[in-house]
Amino acid sequence: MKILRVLDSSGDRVIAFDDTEATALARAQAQALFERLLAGGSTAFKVNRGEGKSDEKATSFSALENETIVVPRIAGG
Amino acid sequence: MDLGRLGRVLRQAWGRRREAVGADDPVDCAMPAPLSVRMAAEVRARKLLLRTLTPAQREEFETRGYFSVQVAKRGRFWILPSTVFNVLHAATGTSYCAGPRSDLPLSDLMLAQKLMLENDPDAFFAVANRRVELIPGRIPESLYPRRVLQARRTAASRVRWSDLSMIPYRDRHR
Repeated sequence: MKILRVLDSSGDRVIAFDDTEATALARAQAQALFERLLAGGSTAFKVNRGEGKSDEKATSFSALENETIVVPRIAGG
Repeated sequence: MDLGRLGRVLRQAWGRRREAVGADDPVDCAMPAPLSVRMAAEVRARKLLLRTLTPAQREEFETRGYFSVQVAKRGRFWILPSTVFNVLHAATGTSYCAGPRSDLPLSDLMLAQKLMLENDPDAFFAVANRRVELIPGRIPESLYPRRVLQARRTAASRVRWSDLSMIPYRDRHR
């Protein structure tokens, strides 16, 4: 199961999906959300990848791994 | 003042802010969530942060309340538990301020900054505001985070190095 976490005021919003037929709707929703957020300036990172791999920026939905965190668009404070 | 009246006063004040900012801005016009909701969000965000930190960062965060990140070609930065100017450069003492505009819990802000600094630093520094927080060489590097946090806790106003540097050199010792 893959997890997409979008940081928000509640902590984070979670969307779980995988490549099976049973979660096709959730996967489609996750893909639509992922692409909309990135188009709006958010940045996604693959985290907790296991096997000692470091976090990595993600730009494509198909390349997502177990857990992805989407950071809303940042601005200078 | 009873809680009902306090709630009404806060809603009125927020309504005035809404009018001032512009009602079509969903980020700045969102009513702040009640304290209990914000605390629950902070607890959730902290768990995610702890799970995402490296073991060394987690240990540093749990013992000191802040942690450091290594940024490619720029060196080491501390991320402090503060919402403004909380990214501190170890080599220069310069503070940077950038983060999501959304009303995120503090731990989410620190996580967002860690991920941006470690994996997409150019995007972070492209938008970050900066100010010189400490005088380089005056105190040991390892004390920077503690000195900054102590200074921010004191009520007295401070004179920053950036303010001092506005004084022409020839006039400094008069």
